[in-house]
Amino acid sequence: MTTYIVRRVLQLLLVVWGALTIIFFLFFTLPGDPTELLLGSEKANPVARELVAERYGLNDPILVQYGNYLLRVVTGDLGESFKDRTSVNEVLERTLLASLRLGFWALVFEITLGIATGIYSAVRKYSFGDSLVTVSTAAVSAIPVYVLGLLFQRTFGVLPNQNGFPSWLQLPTNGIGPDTWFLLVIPTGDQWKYLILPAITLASVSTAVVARITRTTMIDVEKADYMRTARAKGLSERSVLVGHGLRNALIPVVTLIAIDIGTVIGVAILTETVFNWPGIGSRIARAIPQRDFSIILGLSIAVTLLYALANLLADLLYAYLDPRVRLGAKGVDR
Amino acid sequence: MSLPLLPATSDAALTLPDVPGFWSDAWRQYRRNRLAVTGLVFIVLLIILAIFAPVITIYDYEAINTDDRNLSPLSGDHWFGTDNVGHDVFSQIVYGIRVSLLVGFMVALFSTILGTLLGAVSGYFGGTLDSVLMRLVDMFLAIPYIILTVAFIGVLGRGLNAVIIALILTGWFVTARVVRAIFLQLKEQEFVQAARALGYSRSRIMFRHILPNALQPIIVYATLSVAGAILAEAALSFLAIGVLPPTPSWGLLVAENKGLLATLPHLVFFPGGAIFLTVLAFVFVGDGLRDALDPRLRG
Amino acid sequence: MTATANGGGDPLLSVQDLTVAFNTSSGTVKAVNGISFDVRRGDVLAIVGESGSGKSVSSLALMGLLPSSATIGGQALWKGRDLLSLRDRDMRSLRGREIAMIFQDPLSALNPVHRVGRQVGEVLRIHEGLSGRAARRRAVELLDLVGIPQPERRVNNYPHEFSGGMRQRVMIAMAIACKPDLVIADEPTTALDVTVQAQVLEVLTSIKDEIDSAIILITHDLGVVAGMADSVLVMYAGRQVERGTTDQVFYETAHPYTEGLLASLPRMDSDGAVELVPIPGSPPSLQRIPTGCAFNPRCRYVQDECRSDIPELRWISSAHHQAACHFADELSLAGARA
Repeated sequence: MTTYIVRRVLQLLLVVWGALTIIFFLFFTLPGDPTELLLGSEKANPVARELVAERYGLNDPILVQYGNYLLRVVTGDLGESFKDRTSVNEVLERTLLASLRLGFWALVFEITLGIATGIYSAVRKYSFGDSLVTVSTAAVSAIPVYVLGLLFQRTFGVLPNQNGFPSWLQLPTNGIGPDTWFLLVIPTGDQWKYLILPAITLASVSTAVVARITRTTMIDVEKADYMRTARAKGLSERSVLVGHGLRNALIPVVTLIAIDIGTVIGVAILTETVFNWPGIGSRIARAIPQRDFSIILGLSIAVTLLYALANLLADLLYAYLDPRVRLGAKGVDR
Repeated sequence: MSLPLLPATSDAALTLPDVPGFWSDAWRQYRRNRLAVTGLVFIVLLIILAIFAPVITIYDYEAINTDDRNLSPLSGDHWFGTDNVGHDVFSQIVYGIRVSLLVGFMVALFSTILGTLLGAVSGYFGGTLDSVLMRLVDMFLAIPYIILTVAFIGVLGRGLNAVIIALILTGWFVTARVVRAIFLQLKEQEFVQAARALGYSRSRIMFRHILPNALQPIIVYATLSVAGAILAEAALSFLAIGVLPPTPSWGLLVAENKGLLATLPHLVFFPGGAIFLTVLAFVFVGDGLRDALDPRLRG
Repeated sequence: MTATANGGGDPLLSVQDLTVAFNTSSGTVKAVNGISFDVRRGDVLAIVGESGSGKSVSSLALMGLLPSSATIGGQALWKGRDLLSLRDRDMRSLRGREIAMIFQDPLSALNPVHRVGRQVGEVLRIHEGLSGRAARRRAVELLDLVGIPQPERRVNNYPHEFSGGMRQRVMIAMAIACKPDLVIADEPTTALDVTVQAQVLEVLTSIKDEIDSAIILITHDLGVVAGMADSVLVMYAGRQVERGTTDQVFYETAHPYTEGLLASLPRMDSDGAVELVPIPGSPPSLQRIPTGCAFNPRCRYVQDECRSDIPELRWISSAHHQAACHFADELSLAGARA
């Protein structure tokens, strides 16, 4: 067990290093010149340009720059913004918590609603309700998240406002609001009003995916012999489904939720942008058209690390849920 | 899964399934899926609209009709209304089909070809090449998709071509993995050994003998990646890092008009709805193909 | 001991004219067509037939475990109540408590994600209201009873950590936990190695005596039947073709199908000179059962009559022995002579 975790953590570091390297070299083969960005209005001044290039080590050979960057990242320094010279670490600290809060609630929503819907669909398979679920999950996965976000804003923010609804029936559509939380994630006061629409928007795509995969695995599990055994014991239908079916059906669902976090990160960039949520996603989105590469690179590395951690967690959870998986024996190839 | 058992003495077990039968079978199966047929009809309609866009539209999508600004849908000749500078929304949407379909088909086609080639070579030859390629794929898959795409866009610059190339470069991993797995599994089987014994060339064995067995997942994944590429291009354009402004991209239209959500919501929801319907059509077609081409689901 | 030995008293289970039909896309398929039998306390009844003969479907019908696409007819009186018309709730309280079942493949029949102790104890928790700890203690005793070594340790293992034979012992422990009156064992040894089969059957027999239950043993293997069963019911294509005491069916065989099954059985008492004779052909698809006697295309005594008329179950000379063959009498005489 311990050796397995040690090996997985090493593997994780290797992957993050690989990702960093790939992104670094992609960015630094860019045609643009970062000094222009750094200098702003002074970009015509060759002396200033030289000073700046010197300060950021932009005159060094690319491999030296890469080595320096790697060294700084290892010591926990992600560099500073080309645009406004703020430290990337500070930006990360400012935005990370907002993103994690949003992501937490989206995950709660995704897991509860997604799994519940999938079970309902599987138990009532081929019923009207099941067809409705099938069609709506397909629809949700086809609707662009930002369009869904705008649709929510129009329905719950703009329209109630235009029609003179009382204020408690209107939801705000912009920003994080009072930013008041209890125990890190529980919204207090009016905070939930700011949270709910972006959280549902962020969860939408994954909820549909989870619902669909839960339905499929539940239907597969339903055919398993041990379900018949459970019924032959005299268990109630509910105990059969929850105690014997769901436990088995959840195994692939957990893996899927972890893999899907890659998608969630993409969705988060769009959701945070549409709702002006001050998280990592909207910050990256803002940095991209500005070509503020140190921000993009630094935040991307943080996000990749989070993604890798989530995958590690899922592997451990998988081994916990499925006793047939022996950690260590199968570790490397999975 | 239960396969009908052939009587042991029958020669039928030794003959290969004939190819025309396979496709007509698949088509029969496909036609039973109403959503898939609807999706296909919708896509054909889109292609026709895209080809005849200049004939169908009255206004140029770039033309600014200063007298006809902020029009609601169904206002005279402006069937979908106009935006706040006087662009005809119907023209923008119809020309937008060209962009979306071009991106979708190009990306699906080339990322599938790239993925299939790399996967086939990796799986068939194995060895160092295989290890290097697969570790590379692992690395790429460890980076969240959007960040990788953004990195490629960063290198290639903005614009339609850059978007297409970036999406091709980030789109081949899954196909490569699937094709590799199938090649790994099949290359040891007897029909491949037999082909080798007959002295067939490697490329003939790879592409005439093994590849047809991998067609089902390749075709299904390619169809779904049309949908994925259309969504991705729209999202990149929405984030202002996709195609450049005069190009009528639906995602760009949503981004440009999202400030008018309160007054002119159709400016957001018409292009948004166009993305939605187009993507949905490809998803339905993909699902239909999956069932139609799956040998286990045929009666 | 034969069925006649404890013929007195009311039967525990009395099945009358059981039919099971499935609605499929290609029409209705009759999987079981008019089966009747009685099981008394302490009895071992073997239901014998090839796959598709309807033997497993019959037992699942009795347990109420068939999918809703099945239409079930007839009557199955269990201590005076008709199992086939019980409400779900009442049926559930019988399952596992009064009637328990052992399935063919213990690997797939046991839940892979739960420890065996929990799976055995679960029956006791729901039917006898035992606490988790008490159920576990009983589980250990039960594992010991079915001959699993080191039960205190093994109770915490998962099914995949057992061998096939040990897994089937776990299934047996689970089935007998509530001391049921009837255990239905559906091909309990088919998925096991030959050497292990005998051990598992032995466990089953000794347990039966321990808790004094009846057993319905469903199998395609007459070799299993010989050592265990008091009476035998032979099924072919959903119908009963022969029934009687084990001795009658083995030594006064009155149906060509039973004869075929016996001939294809390796025998310990022969000197090896007797040739094994497989039955030619394969069982018919239930969608295309031949007209007349369903066995006629494979029967070596086939006559014109067999191709047109379905033979009724008829009494053979001795009591309790019945067969559904137009020429049953001639056959049984020949068998008795041999």
